[in-house]
Amino acid sequence: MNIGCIFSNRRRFDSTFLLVLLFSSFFNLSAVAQQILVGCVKNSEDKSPLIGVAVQIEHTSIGTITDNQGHYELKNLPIGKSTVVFSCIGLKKVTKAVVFSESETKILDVYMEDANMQLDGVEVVGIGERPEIREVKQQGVPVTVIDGKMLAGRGTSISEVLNHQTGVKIRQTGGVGSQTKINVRGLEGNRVQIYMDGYPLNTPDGNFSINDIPLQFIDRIEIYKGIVPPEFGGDGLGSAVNVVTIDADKDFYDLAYKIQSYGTHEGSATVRHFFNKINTAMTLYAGGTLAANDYTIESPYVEGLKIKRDHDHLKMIDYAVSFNFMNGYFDEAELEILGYANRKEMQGIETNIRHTFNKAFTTGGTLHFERKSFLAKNLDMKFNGGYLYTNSCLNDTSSYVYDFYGNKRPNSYKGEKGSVPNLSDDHTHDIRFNLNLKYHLVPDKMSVNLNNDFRYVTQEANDPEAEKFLKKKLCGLQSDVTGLISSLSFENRWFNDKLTSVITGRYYHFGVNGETVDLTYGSVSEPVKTDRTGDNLGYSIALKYNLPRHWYLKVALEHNYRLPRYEEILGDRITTQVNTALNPEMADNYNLGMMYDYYYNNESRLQLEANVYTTKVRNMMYMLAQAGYYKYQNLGKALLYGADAEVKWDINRNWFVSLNGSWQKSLDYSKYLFGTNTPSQTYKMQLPHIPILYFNWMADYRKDNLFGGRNQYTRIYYEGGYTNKYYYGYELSKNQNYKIPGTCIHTLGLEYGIWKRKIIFGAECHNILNADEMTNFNYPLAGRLFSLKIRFTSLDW
Amino acid sequence: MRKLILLVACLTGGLAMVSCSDSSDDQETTETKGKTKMILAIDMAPQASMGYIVPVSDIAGGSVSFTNAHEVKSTPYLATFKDWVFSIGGAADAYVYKYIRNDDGTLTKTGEIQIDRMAPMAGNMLVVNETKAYASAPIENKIVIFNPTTMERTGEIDLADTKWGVDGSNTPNPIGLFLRNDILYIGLGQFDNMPICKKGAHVLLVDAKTDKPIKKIVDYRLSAATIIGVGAMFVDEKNDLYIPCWGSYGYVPEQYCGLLRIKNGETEFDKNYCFNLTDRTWPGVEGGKLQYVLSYHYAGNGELYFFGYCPAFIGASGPDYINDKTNYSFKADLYNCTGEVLDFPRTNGYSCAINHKNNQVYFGLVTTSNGAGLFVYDRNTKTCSQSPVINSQGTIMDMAIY
Repeated sequence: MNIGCIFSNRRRFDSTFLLVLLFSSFFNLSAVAQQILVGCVKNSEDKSPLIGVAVQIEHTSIGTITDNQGHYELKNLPIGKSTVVFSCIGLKKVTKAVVFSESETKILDVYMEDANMQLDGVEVVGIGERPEIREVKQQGVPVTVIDGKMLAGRGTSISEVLNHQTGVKIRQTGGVGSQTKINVRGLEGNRVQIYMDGYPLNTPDGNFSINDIPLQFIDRIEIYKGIVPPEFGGDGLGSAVNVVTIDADKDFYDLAYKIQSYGTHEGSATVRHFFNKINTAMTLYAGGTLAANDYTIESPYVEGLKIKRDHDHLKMIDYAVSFNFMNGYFDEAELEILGYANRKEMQGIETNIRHTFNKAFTTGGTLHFERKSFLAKNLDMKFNGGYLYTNSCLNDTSSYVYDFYGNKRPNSYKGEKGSVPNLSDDHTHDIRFNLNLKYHLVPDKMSVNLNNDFRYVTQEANDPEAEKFLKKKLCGLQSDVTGLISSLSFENRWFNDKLTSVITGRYYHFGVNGETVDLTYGSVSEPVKTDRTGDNLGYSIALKYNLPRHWYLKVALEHNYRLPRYEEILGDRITTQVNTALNPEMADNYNLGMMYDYYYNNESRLQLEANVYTTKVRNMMYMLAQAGYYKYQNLGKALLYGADAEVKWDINRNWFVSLNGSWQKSLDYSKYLFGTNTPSQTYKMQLPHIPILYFNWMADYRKDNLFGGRNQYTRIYYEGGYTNKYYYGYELSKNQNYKIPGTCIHTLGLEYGIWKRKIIFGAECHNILNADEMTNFNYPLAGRLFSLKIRFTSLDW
Repeated sequence: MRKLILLVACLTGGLAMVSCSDSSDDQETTETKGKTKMILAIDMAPQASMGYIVPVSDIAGGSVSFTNAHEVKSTPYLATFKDWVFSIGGAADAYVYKYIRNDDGTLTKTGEIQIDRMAPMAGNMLVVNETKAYASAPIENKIVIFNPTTMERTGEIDLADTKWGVDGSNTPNPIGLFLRNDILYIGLGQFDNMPICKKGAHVLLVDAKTDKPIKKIVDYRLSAATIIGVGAMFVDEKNDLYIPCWGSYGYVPEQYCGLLRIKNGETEFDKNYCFNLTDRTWPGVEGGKLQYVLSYHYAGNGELYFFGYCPAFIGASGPDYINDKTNYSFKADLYNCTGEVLDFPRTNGYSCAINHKNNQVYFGLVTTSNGAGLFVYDRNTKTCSQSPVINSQGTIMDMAIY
């Protein structure tokens, strides 16, 4: 039997929170005649159905994968002769020709032979790569793809998974629900775009985190480093993480529960049902997290003081209801209603915060349409629209202040976070859409892609406590931010498809309109009207060339912008000041990469990838603390360059090892102190607080029926990571002691599935040696973490 | 508390007054051969969110080298006692760090003590002798007594009492410290809505022998007595005590900044003296008015130097205390209550370092086109340098000269 094709393809299941999109006013579900090819793929020896076989119309993007009955269905085949390719690791490739002269449905059953592999029983583990992952990797841009199937039973978070990838570092301030920043090649925060199924993932108030996406619903994670493909409409400085959720083409249920050290409980329940009579599938999802985060840390401020984190509780619930409308005009049509609510206490480390907390509630809906041959034969269309409403609140009104020794003192003001009490009640409406039109000028050779990404955010801010205290108008403040990013790209294949090129031009527009308030003392009490717009042009070129003997060459360059975010321009009316003069950040990225991908002995694979890059950033935005507040400012230039490399070796169908290393320099490239003609001593010095050198390694053993019996699956994995020390400030002094120490973290895990992985147990120990771990200066992390996870699912593997 | 901390550090850092213990004329130093002649406390914003204590080996010129510097939090301040150098956390750090001047020109960190346990703040400190020092904890509302040799806490004076607050408040917010005639004078912030203080200059008098409060005095001609940073209060040759008041940064119309006086032998404000710096028109100042006054330095013979914040240079996107060049440098006659703008280029709102050595008065400036570092006013020729005599980075918050 075949190996490596064990995962049946699933129709898109947008699990929870696609936070995007604009409602469109119509559904057109009427059927349109087309050319359809259906059939079944079976093993030639025992006639059993083959699952996970890639079925592709040669030189087109039309393709699918056989389901768990070996069935496949291809729509919208071109009139005339087509070549259908059936392929799967471990099986000999089969090629068949079909001819369509009119709209009709044809049946083509195929038998495939095993390749020359001596297999021992039915393995559900092994080498191989799903076509969608391979397709992503084959782009001209540097990208790492993580197969979500490897995350299904793990009791960890996305950030922990990302943290082991080439060129990626995760920076956290605490436990579950804490601030998490993804650093890609030295850039982090809003400079790295986070997407879910291709659409920006961020609630307007920033409460929703990538870690809130349940691991079990991840199909794959794509990490774009340096340059982002044009179909991602958002801005950014050239790096992005796209979390693709799984699809499912049949009824299923999924229940998961995880318990982790320091009082963390996570659970989710999902059920999907197809209503065949009305051609609709409905998915219900609900999940939640409770976390105490009550670990003890050594105070980084007071020697010998141990701090029990006892004001760091997180409560979070989320839900989603989605409807997929099938067999209509659109190939895919989906409506989703979603919601999210959380309450997060604020843990103090430097001072003992006892009462302050944030809470937020988000609800909204999203709409997704997708169709090939939309309006014209060669035109493909994808549309996502959405509306989100968020109500967020910071509650910080304590009349007392506390130390870590049990003492309470009267507060000179009210509030623990700042010197101004806050009881905010902000209402944000976020409307977005993304429209992608792809026209195949010459099928399989040349296409043009128009992408339009629009976002409009309007907010009403209210803080009666702060208003009363500051004697400034802080209630009923209305502000709007508009962002529009349009791109036009041409994709070509040259020299018998050896060379692929994508050339993209982008137009950026942003506007800020509304009332803003200057929180600084002495400024006017009444809000000031702001109306500002900006326009920029960017471009990118990505080339991939297939060299002989399994080598690939990738070259890419990009000139792009990151538009100021809502909160960066208008502040939060709490601690972050307004800066309506803020300009977009601009970056020029260059990347040169080599890939080697070689299958051998039918069950082994060796992959090598190495990249060198450089990025020059101008108008870098920094958040500066001054006069008791924070404020975003454009301060200067930075030069980033580095190299990363990875080797992955699938030794056989059971053993997998990998090693990667990243070296990234991030230099201050401002010759003069900002706003002066004084030469800067930090010119060309490493920017503070950015990791420079790190390595990750992994060993993974997967085996079916390791302990005898049937339908069992065992996976034992070990991951290690070393991050070299880096500094909080510039390396100006030989007495540098503000640093993030070098750490070496080891993680060991076990996954055990029974009943064809209908029940999966996961156990993991992160940081088994309990090493001191810190990724942000003076924010010690928990150390050793245990997690246990159990999952019941009817999804196929 | 963070907002308060930063606010005080950034805005009032400038108000930090270089105390007598920093100035060059009355140092009780030991043999100085080989030891650093100057120490700078530098805030590195906007390059980095931290600061340095920097020993300067060559006071004659060149650029400040950070090679032997010690990292500290933002907006640091200095106090010195003999060969001891103390870095005061001010409004960014609850700690006081102790360093010793070495013969090779370097500093060695030898101890530290946490002052305010409720907020990352150490308002001021004052060394009495080798075994006793005071430091103010503005948010905890205490005066911490410690041994500066061992840097161990030996006692405290609890001020969280309505007797020392205003209008029933029990949070007087102690800041500035000065010891004269066995009486410890404590400037009280009386924070209302930081940086807005309750009206009046409030000063608490404590018996330094018993460390018991004696009484609180108040003068409503000026407001907001003493600021976070270095000692702020100073005495002249007649042992008259001058109390700087920052007038809530000029944000409250009826609150003024300037200097009040308590004459030698008195324990009440001198009703005949008030150097009001807000309520006057300054020739040479854009718009003629100062919003508030930053650092003072008394150089003897009635010569007073200070920075003044001019609101005419606030940027279009609102106040930016690091990048807007809002501050003028001034020379004033302490006794006649007159003054003039010195011919230095303007500097930013963080700048607050002034000190002198003989006839050279050093100003720490960050200018738009004249460089950044220490500029010099020559008391003999009455001329101002137009470029730094020592180039530096960031903003010099404080300096000690030996």
